[in-house]
Amino acid sequence: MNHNRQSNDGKHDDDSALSDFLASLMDYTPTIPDELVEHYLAKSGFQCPDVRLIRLVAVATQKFVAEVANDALQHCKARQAAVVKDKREKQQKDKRLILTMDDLSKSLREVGIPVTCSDVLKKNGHAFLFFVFND
Amino acid sequence: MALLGDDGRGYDLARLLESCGVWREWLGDSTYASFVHFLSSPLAWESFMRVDDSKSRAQIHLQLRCRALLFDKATVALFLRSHPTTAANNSSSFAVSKLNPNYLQLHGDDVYFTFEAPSQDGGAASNTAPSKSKPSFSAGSRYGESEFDSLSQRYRHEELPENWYNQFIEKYRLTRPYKLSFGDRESEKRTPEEMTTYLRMLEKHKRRRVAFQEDQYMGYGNTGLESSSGLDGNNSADDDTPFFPETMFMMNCVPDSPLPPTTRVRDKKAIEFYGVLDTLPQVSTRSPVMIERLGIRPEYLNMEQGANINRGKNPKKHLSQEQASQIARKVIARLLTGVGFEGATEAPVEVFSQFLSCHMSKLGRNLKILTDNYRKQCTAIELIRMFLQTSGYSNFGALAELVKDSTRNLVQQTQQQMHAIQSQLQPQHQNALRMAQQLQMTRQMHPQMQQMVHPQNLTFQQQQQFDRMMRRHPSTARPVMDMVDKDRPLVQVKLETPSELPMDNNAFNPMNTRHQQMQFRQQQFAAMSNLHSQPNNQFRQLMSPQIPQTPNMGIVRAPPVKVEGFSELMGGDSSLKHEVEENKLTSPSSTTK
Repeated sequence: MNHNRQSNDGKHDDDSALSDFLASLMDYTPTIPDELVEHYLAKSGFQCPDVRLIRLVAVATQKFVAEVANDALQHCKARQAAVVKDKREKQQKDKRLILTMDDLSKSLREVGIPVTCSDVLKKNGHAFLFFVFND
Repeated sequence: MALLGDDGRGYDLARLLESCGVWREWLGDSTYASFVHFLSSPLAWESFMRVDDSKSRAQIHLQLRCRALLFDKATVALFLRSHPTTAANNSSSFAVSKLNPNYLQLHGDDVYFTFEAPSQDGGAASNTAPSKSKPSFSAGSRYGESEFDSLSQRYRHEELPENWYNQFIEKYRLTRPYKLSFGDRESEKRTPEEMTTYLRMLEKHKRRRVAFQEDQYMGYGNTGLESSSGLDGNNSADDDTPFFPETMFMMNCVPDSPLPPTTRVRDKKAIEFYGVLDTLPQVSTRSPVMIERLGIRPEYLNMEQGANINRGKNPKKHLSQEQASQIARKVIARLLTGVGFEGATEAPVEVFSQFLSCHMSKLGRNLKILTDNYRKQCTAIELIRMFLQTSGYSNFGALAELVKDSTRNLVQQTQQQMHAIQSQLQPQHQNALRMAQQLQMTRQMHPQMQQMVHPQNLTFQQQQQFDRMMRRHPSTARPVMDMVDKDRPLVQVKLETPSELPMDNNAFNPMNTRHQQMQFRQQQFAAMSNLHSQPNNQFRQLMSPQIPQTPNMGIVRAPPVKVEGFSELMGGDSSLKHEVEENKLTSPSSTTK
């Protein structure tokens, strides 16, 4: 009996914590706008008028994407460090942290999304890379 | 078969057919003359119908033709399930007498059928493709075209030149042009009205041709419309008109919609659906007093069933695919800047934005699957918990940390912004403002709320002082607030006692929270426009509903504040005391407009 009561209390605490977290989302503006999240949720067939849920999805997405971006940043820094070791005269040039496809593909591969380059086209002086997500 | 009698010869049925004049029509005049005397008595009929090797070929052919007609009319008995006539009385004569005379008549449409777009040939193939040419009469036979052709050719030139069906067809071709049974329109798709008419005519035709007279009264497809017609077959005009059912009935006769175009009502109203996640559990406020007296409620607590949270009166804006892609790219640019990147090539941004879109779609699919499958078994909170688990955030602490960190960054950015703005203000006003801010800060020293609070319009120095205060005297926060509150209602808006204060930051400073959010958003706009060479006005317009327009960058209305004993309450912080002593109570003249 006591065990059930304790588990119920614990569950109630978890629910209240989750409710509080959802409430806190109202004070926080995610980086991803609500309209964009609603657009893609509706595209998947899910609609909900409660903004808290929209923001929950936005926060979850933002977190996930930020992790991938962070990994890409680490790859970029590691790449630059390796280059600097070899060729010091290029140190000035490569100092800027610029996201490239190599860094991004490495970080995406770590989260289970292998990105393959299927074609490279040159048009009007710009390089267009077509990638296929193999999810 | 009951209609053929006990001996199976069908004498009664033959007599009835004779009374209807069917034998002459069936056999032709010449053949009928040699046949009619066999109907004079049952014995003659018996001798006619007996199978005998002594009979000639002509006699056998005649017998076969008679048998064919008899069997054709008698087969109705095979399909009677529980006909009252046959059930009640086993006498064949009785059953024969109950036959409908119209049924006994010869009808070409019993055998022939037409096509929607018939070909020119006489024994047209059943797989004739519909054509747009003017339809001419063509008929197919129930018995197959090759059989019909061979039959017609064989008997036409041999012993049976007067085949009834042949005669019928030729006569029909000559006398009247082919036309559809229901009207004078050419073969086209029927409208719903025409379909109704056609079905009504078909029903009428079937009722007229029922085998037994009782069926006409008993409502064999009776719609009550045509009950009086064709009962005794005297309505010769209707009886003579063949009704050729189209073989492509099911294919071409059904209109696209059962509703006629004029009566189709297009409901343009958006139908609202209420799902299990539409009303998430509301935060139970700890301050009923606050709600009752001040009417302050978090936004979503005002939401009734089906209403939109935090939308106010703004209509829902729908994005196109192009707009969504554009916004996604800008979001990615912002995220990359926040992470630490200084730039990115076009391709990774494009790929990353698609990845963002795919991930959001995936989360949406997960939500949909969970709500569809478990909406009856689980509550909304449980569904959200399941959703977080499938997304990899079973412990949503990571998300809470993200929200917290972002809020802290927002505070710092706001402080820097306000520092630049407030440096333009006059010292007097600035001091009054600072004092009001300090008091508000002291009220918000609840440890749990501290992280959620946006210290309004604090300068960087004030924030440092605030931090210092907290470090030194965290335990005095509550008494400070009590002391201050007792003197005077300081802030008109919200506060009573800390214990009554709800957890939600909104209750404290809705206006100021809005200010800071607006400022942050405007900063983000500026950052985004710097990232891209072409600022997107559409994006700004889209974002605008979230940003109420206020001209003021954050000057707060500071009501009059009583500061007696303030320094003691603050615990003897010399710097703060110095500032407090210097700043007299003045009502701020620069208020928000």
